[in-house]
Amino acid sequence: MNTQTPVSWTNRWTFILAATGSAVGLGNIWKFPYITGEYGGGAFVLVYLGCILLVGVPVMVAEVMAGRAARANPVDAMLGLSRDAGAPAAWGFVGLAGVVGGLLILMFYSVVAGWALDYVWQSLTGTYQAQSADSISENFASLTGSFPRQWLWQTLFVALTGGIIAAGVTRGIGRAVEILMPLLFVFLLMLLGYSWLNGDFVRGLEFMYQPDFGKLSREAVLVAMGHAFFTLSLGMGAIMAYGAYMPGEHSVGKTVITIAALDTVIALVAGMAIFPLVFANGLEPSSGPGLMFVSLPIAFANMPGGMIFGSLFFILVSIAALSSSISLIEPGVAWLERHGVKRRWGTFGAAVIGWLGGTACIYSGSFFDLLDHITANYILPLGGLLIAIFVGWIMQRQTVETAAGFENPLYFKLWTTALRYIAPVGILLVFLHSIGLLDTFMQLGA
Amino acid sequence: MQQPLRLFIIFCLLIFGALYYYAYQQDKRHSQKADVYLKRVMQDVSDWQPQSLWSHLAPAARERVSRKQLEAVLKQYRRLGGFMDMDPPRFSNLTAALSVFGSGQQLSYSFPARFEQGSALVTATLDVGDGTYRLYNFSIRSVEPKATAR
Repeated sequence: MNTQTPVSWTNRWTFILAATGSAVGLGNIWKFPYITGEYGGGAFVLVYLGCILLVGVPVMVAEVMAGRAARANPVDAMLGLSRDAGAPAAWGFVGLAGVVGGLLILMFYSVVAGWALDYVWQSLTGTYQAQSADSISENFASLTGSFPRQWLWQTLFVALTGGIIAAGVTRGIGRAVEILMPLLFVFLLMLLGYSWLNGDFVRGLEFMYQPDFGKLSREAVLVAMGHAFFTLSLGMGAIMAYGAYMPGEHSVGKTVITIAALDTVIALVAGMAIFPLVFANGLEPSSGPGLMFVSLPIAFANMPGGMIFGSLFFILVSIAALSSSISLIEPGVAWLERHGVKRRWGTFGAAVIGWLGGTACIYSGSFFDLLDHITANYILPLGGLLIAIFVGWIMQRQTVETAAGFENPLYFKLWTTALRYIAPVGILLVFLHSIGLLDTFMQLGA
Repeated sequence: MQQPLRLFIIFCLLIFGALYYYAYQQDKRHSQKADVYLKRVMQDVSDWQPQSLWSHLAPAARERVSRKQLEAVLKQYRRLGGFMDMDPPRFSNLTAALSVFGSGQQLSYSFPARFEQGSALVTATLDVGDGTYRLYNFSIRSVEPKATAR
């Protein structure tokens, strides 16, 4: 193996920003703050951090390490590493599933990102300013019911994503994340300041952080574990593809811990910026598109400077979506490039497929739903599980130890223990829970 | 076009086409069943008694709503009078998006319905479990009150 790829990130921080950009997506903004408040506040955060350390970080280290060891896209990386380990070539299907999974996610993700772009426009033009709550709610329903409006924004979003990828790893993705991610941090801090000055900050903090250990049910632990896995963009080869461009001399462990910490901090700060605004306007905390496209516009419509900060918020959401969507296509484009297809043509092919699928998602809600269902419930957890098993159990220990680059042997031992025993069990529980089989198995066991 | 790109596009389009066909079939199957179920719900709940609506609610919805809240909502709907008929329910894209949040399978439909005292737009989100439907969310927005005889 080890055919060196000719490209790499400019430096370690570019990789950190790219991987953080991949990890920070809509879930950090519309899911994590809400589940934190709902499942025990500070107590949930503690459980979540435990899950990040025991499930998310070990699998992410495995993905980065596999990408860097093979210096190839997920399909060729899994094929090459399995050949080196004397394992069946069928392991290549794990990489292939990731490539396909990324494209399937892009299809529905680009539609939701298109909504965010529409709201950037609405915010800048003051469309929802001084409107009643009912008309803001109807406005979102009219967007999701309008094929041309959604199609226009979805097309623009896919074109932006494709444009960045086509420009290459260093000049395209690298440069984009070096601009977008600091911008995201700055906008987030500005929103936090706005929320502190204008929102019900104390109530927002209480909702998110007041520890309530009574709410730490089995469900809460599974939700924490599931989010710890999904938030880091694992199981779809994106991180493996990025890992292939990682400079060789740095410790994967330290780098991944930095990425996980940034992802968590952004999610926590997002909650502190959002919920005080929600509470200050007498709205109920919620999650998902309802929070982002209905509750928050209602809040911004009623607050001083709402037009400016509403615009900032939706630009921030669009940046988060864009930095994630880049990583969804990259594995496929990298595979095509490796097999002799010019990068711009590979990007064009992959983006057109993603765009066609997005158009189909706008046309058919069932298709949208199906893509979401199979990627979140099957492709990602099974991909993550198999990667953990492959790196933990199949790859040669010496290869893993060298490629992971842990400075302290104790850390390597802790990581392999988590990867071999804890992470697979955790992901399996999340998988069984998400497809509704966990209760069945537990009943059978009882 | 180069061979790997051609293979990649054909492979992705095949998967995409198969999934789209499957989604279409599922949609057709669910819509037929949901049509029958929602007609029954509309007939049952249009006596506007809390017990009637409560009996159709999914367990998750029962945990979130109190009898008092149910009373308050039904008080608003009562003025519509008895249910007469409805258009076929349309699957709503909005709830499909909500499932990005990762909740269990839910289907959301909206449809115009006629009542004794006017027309309304009904939105219903259904929990799907073991092939049966239960109401997770239900709202009615009056759009055209009937002119009352003087």
